[in-house]
Amino acid sequence: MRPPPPGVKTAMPPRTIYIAFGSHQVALTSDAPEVLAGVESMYAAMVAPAATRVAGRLEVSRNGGPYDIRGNTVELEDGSLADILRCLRFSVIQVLIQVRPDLLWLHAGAVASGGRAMLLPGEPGRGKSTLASSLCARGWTYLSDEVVPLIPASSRAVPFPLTPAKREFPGQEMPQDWLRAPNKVEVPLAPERLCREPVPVGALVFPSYKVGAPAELSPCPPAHAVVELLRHSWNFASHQGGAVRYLCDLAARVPAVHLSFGDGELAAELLTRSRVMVETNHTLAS
Amino acid sequence: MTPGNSLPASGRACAPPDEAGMRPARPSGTEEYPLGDDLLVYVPRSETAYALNRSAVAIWRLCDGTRTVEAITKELGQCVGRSGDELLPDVIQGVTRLRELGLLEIS
Repeated sequence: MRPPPPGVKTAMPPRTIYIAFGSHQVALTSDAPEVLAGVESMYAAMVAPAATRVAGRLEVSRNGGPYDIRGNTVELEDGSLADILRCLRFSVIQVLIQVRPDLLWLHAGAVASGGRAMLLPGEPGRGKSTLASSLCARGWTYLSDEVVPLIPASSRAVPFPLTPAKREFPGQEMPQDWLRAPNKVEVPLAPERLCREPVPVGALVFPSYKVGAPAELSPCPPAHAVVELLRHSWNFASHQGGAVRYLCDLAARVPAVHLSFGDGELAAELLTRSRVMVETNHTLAS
Repeated sequence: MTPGNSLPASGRACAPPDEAGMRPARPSGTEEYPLGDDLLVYVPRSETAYALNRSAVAIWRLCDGTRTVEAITKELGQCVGRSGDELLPDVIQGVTRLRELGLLEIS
């Protein structure tokens, strides 16, 4: 086949992939293979072979020109590939939040050990992904590095296993604009490191990355923990006072700590050795 | 005058009568959740939650719309064994902050 003359737009046949959360899927259709590959990579553990219950549809077209994203939560024209992928990452989450308003969705990472989940709530740049990856390398199982849906009735964290994407810290203070820059490296996890079932929450750890800081834990009063969790709730409006009651109950039962660190490996080692969640087990048993 | 700026060199309170005479009240409809030494207060009307420490809670609980700031100070002073004059600037500052957060109304 002869190549098309210069200036003529080409398009691949559109393909659809499905990202699954529980019994719902988000369908993404695109004629841009690099977009599909990017989304398949970031949602690798959540890609489903077929759809049974499509909750939302997103479309990205290129047709030889700039990317154009359309869907039921977002529209973006003329974005770069990095813009499009970031937008799709959050569009998928938005669709699923709308489909499951019964869950309390937190902006947090989460890992599990000994049948208990450790939540890592925090804004971008706090080190959630770095900690989650480092903890999984020490035998913890992975729930998420970005978003954790909680089941209020049972205080369980539901896995939302986006591929962990660790920001590369070059040993200097991170400028604000880096938080939006495409400077993250995906850290694929072995299937056995993925947590598959909802896990009771056993500890709340509020991380704070600062260059050169030693890894240190300090207590976080429960009321402060609740305020922080509410700040990191993505669908507070769906729960309002119910979320406050639930989070107060949670914070009263599980330990909460602040973690400051400058080295993710040392911080993960500290969290593993400190056995924060063993104390939780005692609390729950008593 | 901003509370906290009214301390003379001696450190003794010199609050104007309008501040000491205010009768702050907790707004209706707030929800309280005791958590350890602290109190989580949720204001449904504004959909905001605040964590109050023990000192703030002590002030907030006495703000029932009938007591003046001066009377609140006196009661707190009796509890902690300090004179009202000593405590008044702190209480005024606390009341002002709680009011700024929407956790107190002035009747």
